[in-house]
Amino acid sequence: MTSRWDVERFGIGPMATPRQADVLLVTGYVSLKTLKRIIRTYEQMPEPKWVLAFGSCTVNGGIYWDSYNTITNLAEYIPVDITVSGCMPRPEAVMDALQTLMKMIQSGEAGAYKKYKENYEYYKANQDRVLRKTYPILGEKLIQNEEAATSIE
Amino acid sequence: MIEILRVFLFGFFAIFIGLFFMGIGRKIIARIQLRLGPPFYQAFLDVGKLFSRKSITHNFVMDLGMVMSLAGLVATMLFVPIAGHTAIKTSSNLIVIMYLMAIGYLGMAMAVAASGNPNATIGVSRALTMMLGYEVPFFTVMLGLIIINGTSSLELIANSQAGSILNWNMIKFPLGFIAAEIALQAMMGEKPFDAMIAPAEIASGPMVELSGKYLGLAFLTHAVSIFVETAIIVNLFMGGASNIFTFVLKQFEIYLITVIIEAVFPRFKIEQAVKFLWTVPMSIALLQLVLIVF
Repeated sequence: MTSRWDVERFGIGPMATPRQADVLLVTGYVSLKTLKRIIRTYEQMPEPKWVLAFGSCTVNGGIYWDSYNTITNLAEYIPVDITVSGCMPRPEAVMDALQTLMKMIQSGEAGAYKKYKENYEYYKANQDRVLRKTYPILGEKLIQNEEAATSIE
Repeated sequence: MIEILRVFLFGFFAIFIGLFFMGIGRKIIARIQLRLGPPFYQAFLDVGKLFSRKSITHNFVMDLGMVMSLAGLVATMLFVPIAGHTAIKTSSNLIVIMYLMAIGYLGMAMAVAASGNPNATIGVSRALTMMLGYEVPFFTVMLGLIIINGTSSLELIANSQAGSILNWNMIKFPLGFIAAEIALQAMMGEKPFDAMIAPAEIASGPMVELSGKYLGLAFLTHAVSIFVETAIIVNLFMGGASNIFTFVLKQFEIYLITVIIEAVFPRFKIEQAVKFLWTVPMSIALLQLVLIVF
């Protein structure tokens, strides 16, 4: 965030890679192609890890609630620890959410990454259900080729 | 037994002082940018947090390289005289120090090359290119000081500046000090010479694959490197010190200059940085060398 709000005074700072991150901020609406990247980023983060869903779009779709290529509830695909509603939320709201998350971590409430491991089938089924839409439109043959290619790797 | 404990004490002291400097440096940068900044002990909290996290390793070479980079710098630190105390006494420690300091960077290069991330490889190739850039002017300055003192022992060079502040090499050879100071900026990897880190461009370069404990080790390595590099400058140009407190204060003055430059400058591209280091500080250092020799 900018120097006016200065999150560094709470010891919070942006990191350039998921390997160094503790908290994943999902800011704004999540299209299907973004979801693929979000899942990949989330799974690359080392444990313990937390997710902060930011804005109305990640809670119920916001103004994209009936769009064909955005998801409406992020918590169905990756476990969300804390959400900030609003469109857009103020920077103060985000800082408040981060501090609430710190308190939750200290009291042991925030442990959604454990849920992801326990209920992986549920999350994986939800992810596959929507991500199927992002496959090429030219039919099953391409998908089979892609799967064959990944299995060779 | 006492000797081994002494060596450990030196290592822990360097790490502690380095982390303390890093915390204060972050606070100073924040104040320059009109922010409140983190508390001064933030670096200790960060390292504590990183060591308590799970971390992802790619292979054995990565583990080995990270430990090697920290061990190489701690080994360098054992040869640096701190206010008259040296863990391992030798008669020509300046050459040993400059030789051992490269091992830290080579260990880091080995670790990140093993991780296989292209960003990390770009970062390390930049770091090694930068090393080529800053070592030439820095060695030229050192050569001048070795010629005039007739010795390559850091203790003797530091002792030769004893007495008043006018005996300091900083006052006697101001051109050499300026050249060494610019080279130090590159040695520490601070702006404008931080092309190897460049978070917005190559995702923090060598550190891109480091998670948890590995990033913690990288933090400790950086802390020791801050300590070693400032200590060399203090011994070469500011006459060492009679007690440890004065020595750390002098080191902090050197680090403060670096941090203030870091806070206001943008970043050089790697070829610009090497070109700059081989022209401006290099010509200043050569001029100083000519003035010393003739």
